[in-house]
Amino acid sequence: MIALIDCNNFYVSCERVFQPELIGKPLVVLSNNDGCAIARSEEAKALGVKMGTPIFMIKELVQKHNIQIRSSNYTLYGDISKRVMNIIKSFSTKVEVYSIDEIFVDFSEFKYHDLEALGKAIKQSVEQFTSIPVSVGMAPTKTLAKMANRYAKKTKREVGVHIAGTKELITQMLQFTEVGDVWGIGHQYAKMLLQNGFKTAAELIAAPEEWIRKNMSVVGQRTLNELKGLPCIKWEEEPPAKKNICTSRSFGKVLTDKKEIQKALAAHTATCAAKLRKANICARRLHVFVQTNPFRKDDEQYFSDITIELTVATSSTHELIKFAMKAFDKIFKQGYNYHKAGVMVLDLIPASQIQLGIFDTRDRAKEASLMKALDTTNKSYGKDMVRYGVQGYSRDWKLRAEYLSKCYTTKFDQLMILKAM
Amino acid sequence: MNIEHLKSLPILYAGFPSPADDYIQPDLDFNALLKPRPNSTIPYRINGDSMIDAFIPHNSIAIVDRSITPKNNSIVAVTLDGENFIKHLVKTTEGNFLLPANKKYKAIKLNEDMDVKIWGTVTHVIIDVMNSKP
Repeated sequence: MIALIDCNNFYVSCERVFQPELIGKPLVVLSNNDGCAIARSEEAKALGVKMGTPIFMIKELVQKHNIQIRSSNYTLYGDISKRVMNIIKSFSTKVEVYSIDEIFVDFSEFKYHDLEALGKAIKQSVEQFTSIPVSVGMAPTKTLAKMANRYAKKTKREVGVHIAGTKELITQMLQFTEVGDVWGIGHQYAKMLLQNGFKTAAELIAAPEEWIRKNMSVVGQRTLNELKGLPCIKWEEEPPAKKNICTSRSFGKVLTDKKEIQKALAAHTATCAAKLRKANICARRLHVFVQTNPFRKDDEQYFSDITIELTVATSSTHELIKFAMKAFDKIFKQGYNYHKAGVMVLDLIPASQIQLGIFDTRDRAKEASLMKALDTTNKSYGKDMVRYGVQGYSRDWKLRAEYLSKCYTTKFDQLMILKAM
Repeated sequence: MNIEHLKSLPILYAGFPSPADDYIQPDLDFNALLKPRPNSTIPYRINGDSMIDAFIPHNSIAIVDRSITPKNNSIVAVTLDGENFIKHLVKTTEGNFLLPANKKYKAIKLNEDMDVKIWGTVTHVIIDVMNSKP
């Protein structure tokens, strides 16, 4: 049996752990740059706030019902996610962390356990240790486990655990779930299925072989087999090797000054370089792009990008920034209201496999020592504590986050307060 | 102050090897001391003087482990009517109490009608002695 365990309204729940005054209130967490609603509490959902709604569109609703707003605090969410995942991992070592708040667990070795009791024990542990409510769904395949998880949320939210362990229970779940709510069936696919008369997942698995072969893609057939109880989706215990690393951000406000955009690009390049070193890989190509905002209809639009090849693969911040600045020189044009810039490093190879060019004159050993000192210092003192001059210190390009809560678990000057009164 | 970054620079040895080389032990690990169960442990800042008789002054840091079930006579973290407090939990035959550790403050008797949740046990307290007012 496979379990899909996920956190209920994860970002909202994280905020409530350290701000108990938010419990029971309508709360919305906003995307990067305080743009759209990416998480809503049950109370906010009840007021009609839809997922992805831009916040400026619901200003009146927010004021009328005193809806609480928070900017996304990924530092906090990442830390709490790590704790939740570690607690769940203590129940079984065969796991796949699927996203920041979802994890698959393989319980096929637990043949004689009371899985319902096990699911409840996991839920109780996570909630006691972290205050984060989770739902547990278990079934013979990943797709069915996801369905069981959703079934638990929809039909028995308080209990929060559903084990679809018998044919009867699986059938009941398939009849309850509409095709559009099956994991792996997207919006367009669901429309096609509805048009062909398939409303529930139960009806879908009863489809004739002929029809399936003619009308469903390989991915669709895989989902179908999963629904029938045949595991087809691989377990990814190790995340796959990275093909590229990209860091890009929209600016908090439009930028027209070349120097300001250079600061942003240098910062993004430094982030990419640090990630390369952490994964022990180097890049042979560098891609830089800059663009205006296509939603600002009055602005003249400009989008440009460039990819350059590096003679010797590198993960050195110094080198990558140097090349990123050269690349940017070639694509920057004065007079536009820029909205976003980014850096991507491609063609990644293990650090041990670098081939030096015959004209290469850099002291790579010295540079490696410098990078090691840089990484160790920034690990202790914080990201970009030591940085390259071109990164600058101004925050003109940084994202808006007006409603950001504190870093309660990572900064001593931002700890939650316990009153001694 | 963390000087880990200095250790990553190459060290030049000269002269004789140290007789202590065979006896070197790992540094004292304060993380392991204060957070033996890191997934359920978070530090909190203490605001107020109601616990000074328990050696927990204003501005100290209380390490709270949520995996330890709050027992009789422990110092606990508790949410009362939506606010978070640090209190001394005492269970008696007459009922359960949340007590301060300072004569200026009152005891609270717990009953079913209250909006109360005791969610963690204080395991350690960190006091910055040099920067504390007596």
